[in-house]
Amino acid sequence: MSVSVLYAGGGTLLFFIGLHALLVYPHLLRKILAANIMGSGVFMVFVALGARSSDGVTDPVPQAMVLTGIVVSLCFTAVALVLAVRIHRLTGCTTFVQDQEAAGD
Amino acid sequence: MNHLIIAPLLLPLVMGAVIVIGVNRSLAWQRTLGLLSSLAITLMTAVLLYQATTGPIQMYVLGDWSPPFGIILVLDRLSAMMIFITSVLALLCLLYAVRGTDEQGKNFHALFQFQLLGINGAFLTGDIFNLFVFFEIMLLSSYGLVLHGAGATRTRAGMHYVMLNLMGSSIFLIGVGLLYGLLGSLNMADMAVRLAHAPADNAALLQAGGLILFGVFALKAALMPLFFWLPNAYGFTSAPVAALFAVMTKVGVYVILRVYTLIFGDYAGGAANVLEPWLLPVALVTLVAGSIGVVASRDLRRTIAYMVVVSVGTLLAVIGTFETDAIAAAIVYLPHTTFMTAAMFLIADLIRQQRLDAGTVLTPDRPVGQERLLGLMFLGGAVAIGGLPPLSGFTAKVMMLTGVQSSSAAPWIWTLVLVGGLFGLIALGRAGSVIFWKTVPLDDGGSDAYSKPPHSGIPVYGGGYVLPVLVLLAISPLLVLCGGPLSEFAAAVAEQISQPVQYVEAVLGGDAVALLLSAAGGR
Repeated sequence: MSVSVLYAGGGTLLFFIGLHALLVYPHLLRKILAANIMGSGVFMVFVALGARSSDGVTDPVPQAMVLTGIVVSLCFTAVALVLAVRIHRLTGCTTFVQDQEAAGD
Repeated sequence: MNHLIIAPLLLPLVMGAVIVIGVNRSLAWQRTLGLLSSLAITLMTAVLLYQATTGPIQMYVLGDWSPPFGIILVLDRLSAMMIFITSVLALLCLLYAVRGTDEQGKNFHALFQFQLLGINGAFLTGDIFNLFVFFEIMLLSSYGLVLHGAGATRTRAGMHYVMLNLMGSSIFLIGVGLLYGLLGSLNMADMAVRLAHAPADNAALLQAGGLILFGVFALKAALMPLFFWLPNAYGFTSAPVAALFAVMTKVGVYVILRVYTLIFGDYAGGAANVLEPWLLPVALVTLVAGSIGVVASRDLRRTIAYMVVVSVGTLLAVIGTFETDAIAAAIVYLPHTTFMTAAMFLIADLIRQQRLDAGTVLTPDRPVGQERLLGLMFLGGAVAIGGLPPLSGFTAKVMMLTGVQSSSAAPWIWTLVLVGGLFGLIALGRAGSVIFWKTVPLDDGGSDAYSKPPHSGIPVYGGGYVLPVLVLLAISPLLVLCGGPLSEFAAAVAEQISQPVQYVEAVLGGDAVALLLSAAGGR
């Protein structure tokens, strides 16, 4: 039981570290990394959920969900990275800072 | 087993893949395949809609793994209606897009097919984790479509959209994980049965799981305070994509309706009706915020984008009463608002192309090239969307207002829906008068009052160009003319939704229903 608590606690910690970074750092690459760390935290919670039966047998369904989730987050990260590169190429900056000026014209 | 149920998923999947492989082929080839596929999906969903209307709830078991172990698709009246609306809208948007939008970048047609796969899948799935997967398919292709023909503004708006949805996906997973950890099932019908028998000490966690999921669905449906991504994403993207996305927020509405009547319905023990205190106030606040956005926008595209927010607020406020009559009325309103906002997005794009200086920004400019045609279409769309007789907006609103009469929140809903409609009319009236009447006059040579030379290259629209828009607009009087059958159908849909027992019986059989009801009787 303690191992799964460790996993769940670690996952929660990772989620909030990621959330903090997502909110604090303006650089797009850091934001994407932060979102990935948040996702990893969620996956760890899922792995912890696999220990739900009392007889010590691991439930395979959460692991299947984690695998699907990893594939999805891989696709997402790829799309987000392409977007970040495109934003850099089009605007020359790697943050959201100039939003207001862009909306004005 | 009825194999037609999976066809609206398989066909766009296969077509999308074929188009990706042939991406270097001519555009005409891609267009033909895309249009053929959309047409075929429309026909198939029409057949499915007919079957669902006349018959019982049908289930499709993938790989013959019987539920709750395998993956299932479920076709009931609500999902049949939603996939039919989606495919009709997609066909018309695609007809518009082949007139030039798809030339702005590669892969438009493949992404469009994958988008259809995602939306149809979200409507048909009977499994909450597959709902997540189809959401992701829908979102991944929508990123591509939002950015299609990208400029800097569009890319930046798209990045916001991606980041927000990335967070939404994590939170969705947390909610699903929580519910799976407590219930041990992902099949929605099975979850409903297990929830009925869940021990009382888990009630708080189960409620939390339900409300976490609501947060994600609210993001998809663009409810206050999670709608701020929408005006940018819809306002800056290309017109046919924005028009197709009119149905994307309805995916959120559909999922809210499905999950909170089936899983967290009357039988859900400690977590029964968990959303009831929340949905109505949140929806009403959304309605107010959207209405303010509608009158405050200085750009026609953004005005219409805010109208999407208003329509979601209206729909969910009415659904939020969770009364059968009200849900039936919302079902009548849903196709109307989807098709009319889509039509308005396309009309705004037609106007933009003929106003070379101002585009859709609401400042006086030279008159558009085909004033009479565009003016009449704009008038038609505005009357329908603003809810004036004789078009469908009026009848749908009357039905909704009478539907919620017995609810204690009726005065609030009445006031806010009517004021929201008035704001919409004011905004559209103002937009129309600026675009069509407050124009900078031209002299005989085509120069304007500031003696700038006449513009060259203003496109002139032929019949084929405006046909999709006219068909979309024609749906409105059609909805009025078919009002009788439509309201009967809506009542049948609402009846099916408010009795989750039918759904559980179709998926898991009579024993599960007995189990579900025994828990209800025990309380």
